[in-house]
Amino acid sequence: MTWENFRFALFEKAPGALFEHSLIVLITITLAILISVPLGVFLTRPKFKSFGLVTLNLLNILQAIPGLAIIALALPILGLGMKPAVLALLFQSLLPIVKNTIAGLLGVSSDVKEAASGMGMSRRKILLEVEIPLALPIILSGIRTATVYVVSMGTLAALIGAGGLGNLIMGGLSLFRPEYLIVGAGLGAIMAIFLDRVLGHIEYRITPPGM
Amino acid sequence: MIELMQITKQYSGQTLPAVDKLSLFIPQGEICVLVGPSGCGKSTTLRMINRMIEPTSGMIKINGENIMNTDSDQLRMGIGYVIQQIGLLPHRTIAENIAIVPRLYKWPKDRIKKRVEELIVMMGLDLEKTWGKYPSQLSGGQMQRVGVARAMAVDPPIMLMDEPFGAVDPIARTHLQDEFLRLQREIKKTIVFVTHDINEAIKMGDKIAIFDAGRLVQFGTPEEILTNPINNFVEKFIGHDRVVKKLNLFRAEEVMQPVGRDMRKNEFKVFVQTTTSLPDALSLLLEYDVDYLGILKGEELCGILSFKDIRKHVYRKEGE
Repeated sequence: MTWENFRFALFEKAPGALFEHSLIVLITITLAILISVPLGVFLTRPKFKSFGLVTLNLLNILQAIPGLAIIALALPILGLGMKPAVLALLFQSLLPIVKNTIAGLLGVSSDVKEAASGMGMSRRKILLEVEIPLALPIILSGIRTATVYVVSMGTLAALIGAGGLGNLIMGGLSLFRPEYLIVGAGLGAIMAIFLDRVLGHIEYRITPPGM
Repeated sequence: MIELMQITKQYSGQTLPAVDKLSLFIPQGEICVLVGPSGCGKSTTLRMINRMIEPTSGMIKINGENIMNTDSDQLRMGIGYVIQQIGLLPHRTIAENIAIVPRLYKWPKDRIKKRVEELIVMMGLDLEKTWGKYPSQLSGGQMQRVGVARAMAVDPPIMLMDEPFGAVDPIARTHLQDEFLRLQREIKKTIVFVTHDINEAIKMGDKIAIFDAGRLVQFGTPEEILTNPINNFVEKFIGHDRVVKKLNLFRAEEVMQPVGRDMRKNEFKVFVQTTTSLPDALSLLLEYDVDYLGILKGEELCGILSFKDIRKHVYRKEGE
C-alpha cells in the first residue's frame, strides 16, 4: 500500500465514480418511487385489494433473485451500461417501498377516514389530504430502506460497465491495489450512512406535529 | 324533516336484514333518539341517512327530496356528522379540523376564520389555547366538543350523531349533554341521535325510537314511552325504575302547589329552586325526613312541594 496510490484513488478516480454512483442511485430510487407509491395506493383501494397478496408475492420473488443474476439476465436484452444496472436495482428496491406504502395507508385509522367521508370529502381528497399525509412517514421509511440497499448493491453495476464506486472495488481486486478497494468500499459505506441519516431526518421533519 | 319509507338493509351473507322495512318520520327542529341494544340496526339506520350505507330497498327523503338524487359527497357536506370515535384529523390543528367543511364549500379565508373562532367559543373552549393545538393534545371531552363544532361548521340544518358522548367519562358526559341541550334550544337543528343508553335517550330526545333486531318497536315522546311501554321488550329495556325515570322529565315548578303571600319562609326547613328535577326533590324529602319542601324562585318563595304532590303527579300522568 502506498500513499501515492491511495491519493490517486481518492482524488483522481473517486469523484467521477461517486458521481456515477449517485446518478445510478438517484435514477433508480426516483423510478422506484414513481412505480411503488402509486402501486401501493392502488393496492389499498377497496376495488383492487384482492390483487394485493399476488403483487406482494411477485415483488418478493423479484427481490429474492440475486442482483447479479438479474444483471446477467438483462445483459443480452439491454446491453452494457447503466440501463440494465438500473433495471436490476429497480427490481430489488420496489418491494420495501410498496410494502411500506400499503402498511402506511392501511394504518390510517378507519375512524378518521369515516369522519372525513362523512363530512363529504371525496375519495380523492381523502387520499391526498388525509391518507397520504398520515402514511408519509412510513412510506419514507420504506424509501430509506430501499436507498441504502441500492447504494450497496449499486457497486455490482460496475460489472456491466455502468461505472460507479464498483469500478474502484473491481479495479482494486483485479490490480491487487487494496487502496482502491478501501476508497471504493469506504465511500460506498459513507454514502449509505449519509443518505440514511438525511432521509431519517426528513422522515422526522415531515411527521405531522400532532402525532 | 327526514322521512324513512320502508327502508331495508340486507347485508349479503346474513340471513336476517340489519334493518327491516323501517318507516320513521323525523320532524324539523327536534332531536329524535334511536335507541336499542347493540346490533339492533340503529347505527345502520343513521348511516343510511347520509348514504354512508346505501339501503337495499326503500326510500329516504330529506325535505321531500329523495336523497339518492343528490351526489353523496354533496349530501354529506350539508349534514353534520358526529361519531363516537370523533375522527379528528390528527395531522391538522383544531382550527383546521373545524374548517374542513367550510373549505369544501370554498368559503373565503376570513369568513372561515371568523366562523371557527365563533364555534370554539360557542363550545366553551378557550380560543387562544385551543385553536392551534393538535387533537392529541386535548382531553376526550374537549375533542368531543371539537367534533360537535366541526359538524356544525357550516350550520347544517340536519345533524347525525352516533353515540357522540359515548367515549367520555360520566361527569363530562352529563356536562356535554346539558350544554348540547341548551345549545339546541337556540339552534333548533333536526337531529338524529343514536345511543344504547336509555337514560341518555330520555334526557336528549324529543322523540325516542326504540329498535330491536332491525325493527322499530316503539316511537313516541319519552313520556309516552315511559308511561305506556308497548310490550315486554320495551318494558325491560327501559328498566323497572321507569316511574323514577319519568320523574326526570319534570321540574319542581311543574308539580308544586303555588302559595300566596300568607306563607312565610320560616315555616319551611328545606328549600329547592323551581328548576330542580323531581328525583332530586324526592331525594331531599327522604334525606331530611320532611313532609314538604319550599320552592324558591330566586330568593322568593313561590310554592310548596309534598310527597303527595309527586305521587299525584305520577298517577295522573300514568292515567292519561
